[in-house]
Amino acid sequence: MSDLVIQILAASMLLATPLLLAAIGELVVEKSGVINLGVEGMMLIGGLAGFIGLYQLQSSTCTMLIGENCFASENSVNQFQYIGSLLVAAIVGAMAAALFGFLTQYFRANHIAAGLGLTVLGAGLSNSLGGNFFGVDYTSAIVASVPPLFPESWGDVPVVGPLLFSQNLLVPFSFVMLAAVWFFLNRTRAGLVVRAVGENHHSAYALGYPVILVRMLTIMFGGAMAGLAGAFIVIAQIAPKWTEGITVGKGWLALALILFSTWRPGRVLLGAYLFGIVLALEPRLKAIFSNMSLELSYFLTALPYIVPVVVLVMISRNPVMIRRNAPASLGQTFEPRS
Amino acid sequence: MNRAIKTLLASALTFGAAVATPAQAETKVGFIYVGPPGDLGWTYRHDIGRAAVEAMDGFSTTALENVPEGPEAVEAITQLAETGHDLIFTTSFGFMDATNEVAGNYPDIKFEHATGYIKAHPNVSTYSGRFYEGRVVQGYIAANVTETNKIGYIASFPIPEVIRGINAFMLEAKKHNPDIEVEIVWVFTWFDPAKEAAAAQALIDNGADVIAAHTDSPAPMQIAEAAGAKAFGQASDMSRFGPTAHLVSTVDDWDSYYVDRAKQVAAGTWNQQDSWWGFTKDGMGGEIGMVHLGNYGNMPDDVMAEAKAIEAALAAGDRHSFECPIYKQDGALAEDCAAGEDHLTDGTLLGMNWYIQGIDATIPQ
Repeated sequence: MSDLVIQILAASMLLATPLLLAAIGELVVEKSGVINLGVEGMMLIGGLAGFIGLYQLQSSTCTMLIGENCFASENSVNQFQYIGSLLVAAIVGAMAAALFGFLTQYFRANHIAAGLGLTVLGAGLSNSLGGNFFGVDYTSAIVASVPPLFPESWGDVPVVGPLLFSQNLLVPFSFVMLAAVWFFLNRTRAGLVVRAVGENHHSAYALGYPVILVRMLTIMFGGAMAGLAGAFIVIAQIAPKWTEGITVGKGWLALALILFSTWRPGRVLLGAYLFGIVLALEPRLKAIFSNMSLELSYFLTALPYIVPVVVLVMISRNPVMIRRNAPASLGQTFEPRS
Repeated sequence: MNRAIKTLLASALTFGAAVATPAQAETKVGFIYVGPPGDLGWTYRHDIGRAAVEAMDGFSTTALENVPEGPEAVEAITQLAETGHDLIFTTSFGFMDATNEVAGNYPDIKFEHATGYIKAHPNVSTYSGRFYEGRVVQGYIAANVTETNKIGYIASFPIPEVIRGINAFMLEAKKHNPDIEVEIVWVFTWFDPAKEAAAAQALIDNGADVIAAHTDSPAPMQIAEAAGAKAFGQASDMSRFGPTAHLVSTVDDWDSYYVDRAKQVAAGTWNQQDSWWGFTKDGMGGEIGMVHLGNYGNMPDDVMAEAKAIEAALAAGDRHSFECPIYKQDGALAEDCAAGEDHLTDGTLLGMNWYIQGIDATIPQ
């Protein structure tokens, strides 16, 4: 029984981590008063960039050399190459977000329209570049799997082995980032400035804070985190493989999580893991109870999306708290009054 | 002035006709895809078929990618019809109504709809592959390589196509290994790598050591590879996603059908058909069909040899995938068998909504 619990927890970490990463980034963006609906697009672009990065960085050794031609090669990846590819993903994600930032902050475009545009751009651009980027078709490129952070034998240690030692680097990173973002927003002066900009950009501007610069920075942070989330999906969640539209709506899910968790990092974590645990539980239930009706089976399929929303709405339904946490200038374009 | 314009027009027309003559000799073939050729599964294999047509002299092809299923497809199909295509393939079940609607407006153009069953006009044909023949061979291999006697089966939607595959698989598997069991997880999607992977992991955690999938991504294969289990590839050759896990892939093969039909349109011999090809065109050892098995591996040599023998027997028509007697889950003899048939009829297969005896599960319906 405890085996089952650990299997479900380990599986849920894989499913929750991309949501958590993307949501942490977008949380800071929204706290600064900007709503960027382009998370899905940034995840796709960042994910593809990370995959291309890893493909280029991985080491390849020839295992069948005939004459001067290599007929078979073995690829391998180490943690440093993986971190390099993650940097690529984060940078490209941030660049995609910067595009949104320029449109909304300097050209004062509508946030919603620009965000939706970024989603469409991200999907289209990643589709076409993934099929042919400087002559390489990345939909059929083979990249070696990333090894776990710790020696493989450590994975056999009970409980902490599968839950900690066998996990991908980005899993502990997502927790660290969550704590860091909470600390930043609530315990640092810079975090206070971000929140002030999100609450009332005119007041913040009048106090002398560079509203547009602050927002550009948070937008790019959000893009970097979305890029990492995409890279996790493409590289680490299953095994490295680029497929068009591979995120299948996880960016939208991250956006919904922030809304239902009323902009509180702890509840984003709760929501993401509720989603992961229920999604990991679902196929196991379906395999055990193989005689369920179509209705029940459909309901179970929908459950990972229902449970986090219901739970978060239940615990976050205090209207005063929602008002206190929601950034008052969210989604409004800022024009400095002179 | 007037005369000059007339001369100009006349010469333009003559010139135009002269240019148009060789163009008319060329047969234009259009394709509507539901996804991108880069999916490395369903659409990818259709695009390989398109390339086979394109490679022939006197044929040119056009493909529209990512066309949404449903009423929106009408626009895309009309676009191909309006731009001089003589033959149009619509390559997903969801294009059925749109294909028939456009076909009514263009009686001189031939339309071919994949996996559908409605031919509302004389210029519409339907075609599909007997993919279940691949499942028979998979079932035999699974019965022989499993050590836990537990098969994990990731199913998309409870439609006859998918149920037929499960039945074909288990019917053969049970013959060779009566203790074998299947656990089926319905994921209600064709493509969601994370979900397919989660299902594969759950099945393996639950004791399955062979994974079969009726979804589009190679995620189940990648999970099997990481977990040390075995798996079958679906729709295209997925061996490179599981160097030590991949047993065999059932590969869709539309090339010969597309080439045949394009040639028939060019020769004026095209006729309305409902084609359902297996390993071979006629199921009797004839020309290559719409399904083939790719890259056998990771199994004992004797198992591989016997699997290939079964494939050959199915291709030659020496045996059928669903040979009588076949018992349904409740123990009743299948109607076709009771009526004295040698095997299940195509009509029964096309509407299959029941499990055979030995599958301990209920179809969600």
